[in-house]
Amino acid sequence: MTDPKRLSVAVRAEQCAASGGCRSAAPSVFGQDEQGWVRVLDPNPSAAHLDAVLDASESCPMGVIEVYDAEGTPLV
Amino acid sequence: MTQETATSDTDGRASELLTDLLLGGLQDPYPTYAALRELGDGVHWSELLQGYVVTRYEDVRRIAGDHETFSSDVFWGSAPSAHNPDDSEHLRFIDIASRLFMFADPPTHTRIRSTFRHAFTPTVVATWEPLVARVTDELLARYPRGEELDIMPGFAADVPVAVIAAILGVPEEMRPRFREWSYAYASTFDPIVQGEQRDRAINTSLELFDYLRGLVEVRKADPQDDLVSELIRTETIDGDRLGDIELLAQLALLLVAGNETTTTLIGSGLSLLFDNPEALAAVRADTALLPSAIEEMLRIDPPLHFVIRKATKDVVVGDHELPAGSVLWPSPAAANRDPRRFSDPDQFVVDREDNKHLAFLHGIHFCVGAPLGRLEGRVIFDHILNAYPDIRPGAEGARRRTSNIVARGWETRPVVL
Repeated sequence: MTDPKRLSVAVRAEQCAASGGCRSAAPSVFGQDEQGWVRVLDPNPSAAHLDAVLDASESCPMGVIEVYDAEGTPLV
Repeated sequence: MTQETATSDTDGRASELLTDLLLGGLQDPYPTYAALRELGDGVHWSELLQGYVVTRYEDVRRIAGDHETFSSDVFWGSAPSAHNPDDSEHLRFIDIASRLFMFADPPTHTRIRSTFRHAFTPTVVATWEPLVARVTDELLARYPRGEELDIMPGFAADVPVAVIAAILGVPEEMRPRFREWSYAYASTFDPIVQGEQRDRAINTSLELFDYLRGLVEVRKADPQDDLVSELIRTETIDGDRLGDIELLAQLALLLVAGNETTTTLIGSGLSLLFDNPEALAAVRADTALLPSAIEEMLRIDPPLHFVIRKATKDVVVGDHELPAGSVLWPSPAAANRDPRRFSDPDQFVVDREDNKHLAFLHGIHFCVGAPLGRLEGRVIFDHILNAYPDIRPGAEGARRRTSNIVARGWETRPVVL
C-alpha cells in the first residue's frame, strides 16, 4: 500500500528537451540517462520533497512534469 | 516620519536612481542595482520604462517561473517591433521578427520550443566541442602573443558568429556576410537604432532571412546531420511541423540571442579574471575549474540585464499591488547579486557552490542555447589562457556600452596577449 504522505511524480518523457532543469532542482527525484533525457529516480517522493519537486516542474521548459498529492489531486 | 512621507521619499530616491541607470551612461551599473534592490521592497515604478523594475532574486525568479501570471507576449511595443507600417519591406521583416518564441506564451511557446528538444541535448552539444575548438583556434591564430589590441571588435565578436555559422552549415565563404547580417539583425533590438539606421538594419536583416530561407529549402530537399535539418525533422508537441516563416524566425533568434551574449561574456569574463588575479591563477592551474568560473562570470555580470513581462491579472510583487496589464522589468543582473540569495554577492568566487544564478533565466523561457553558451565559454577561455600565458589588461581601461540598458555589452576591452 502506498504511504498516504507520499507525492506522485509523472513525466511525459517523450516531450523532454534534456535541459536538466529538473535534476538541478530536485536531484533525488530526477536523473538522466546517458544521453541526458529525464529519468524519474523516485516516482513517489515523500512530502518533504514537495517544494523541490514543484520547483523542478516550474523549471521545465517543456512543462511536462506532473505532480500529484497522495489523493491524486494535481498540484501543478 | 509618517508612512506616507517614507513612501514618497523612497519613490523619489528610486526615481533618481532609475534616471541614473537608464540615462546616466553608467560604466558600472551594479552599485545602482544594489541601491534599488535594497530600497523599499526592491520593486520600483519607472516613468521612462512605463513599468516596474524588479530587482530581488526571489521576485525575479518567481516572475520567470510563473508564465501564466507574467506573460512574455510583449513583442509589440518593445524596441524590436519599431517599424514603418507603410513600408512593405518593414512589414515583411516584422512578420518574421514578431514570431520569435521568446515573445510567446503557451501553447504557442510550447509548440515551437518542442521542435528544439533534440537540438541542444548534452549528447548533441558534446559533438560540437571539436568544432568550437577548431573555430576558436583558427581565430586566435590571427593574433600573435605580445600584441596589444581591443579584443571586442575582432575575436570576441567573431567567434560566436563563426561557431553558429558552422553549426548551421553556412559555407566558409559566406561567413563575412553572415557576420554583417547578424550584427544588423541584432541592432534592430537596440532602441536607439531608429530612422535611416533602422531602415538599413531591416533591409540587411531581410538578406539574412532570405539566406536562411534558402538554407531551409536546401536542407528540406537534402537533410544533413545538422541543426537546421534537426529542426525541420522534429515534430511539434502536437505532431505537427513548424511553418516555414515560424522556423525561419527561430533560426534568426539563435543568431540574435546567441551571438552578442557570448561576445559580452568574453569581455566580462576577461575583465573579471584581470580584476581577480588569484582566480585567474587558479583557473590556469586547474582548468577543471572553468565550468564553475563561467557560471560565476554569468552570475556576477550576466549579458542580459533585463527581461520584460506583462501581468495577466492583478498580482502582488514585493509590497506592490499591480493591476492586470502592468509591465514588469525583472532584472537578472540585479537579482544575481542579491545578498539574500548569494553570500559575498559582489565577490568573484571562482568555485562558488549552489550558484543558481538567473543569467539564463528560469522556467519555460530558460535559455534554449544555454548548453552551447556554456560549451563556448569553457572552450574559448581554455584556449585563450593556453594560447596567451601572459595575457593582461591593455594600457587603456575597458569601456562598457551604455546605450542599450537591456544588454550592456562592451565597447572596448583592450588586452595585451
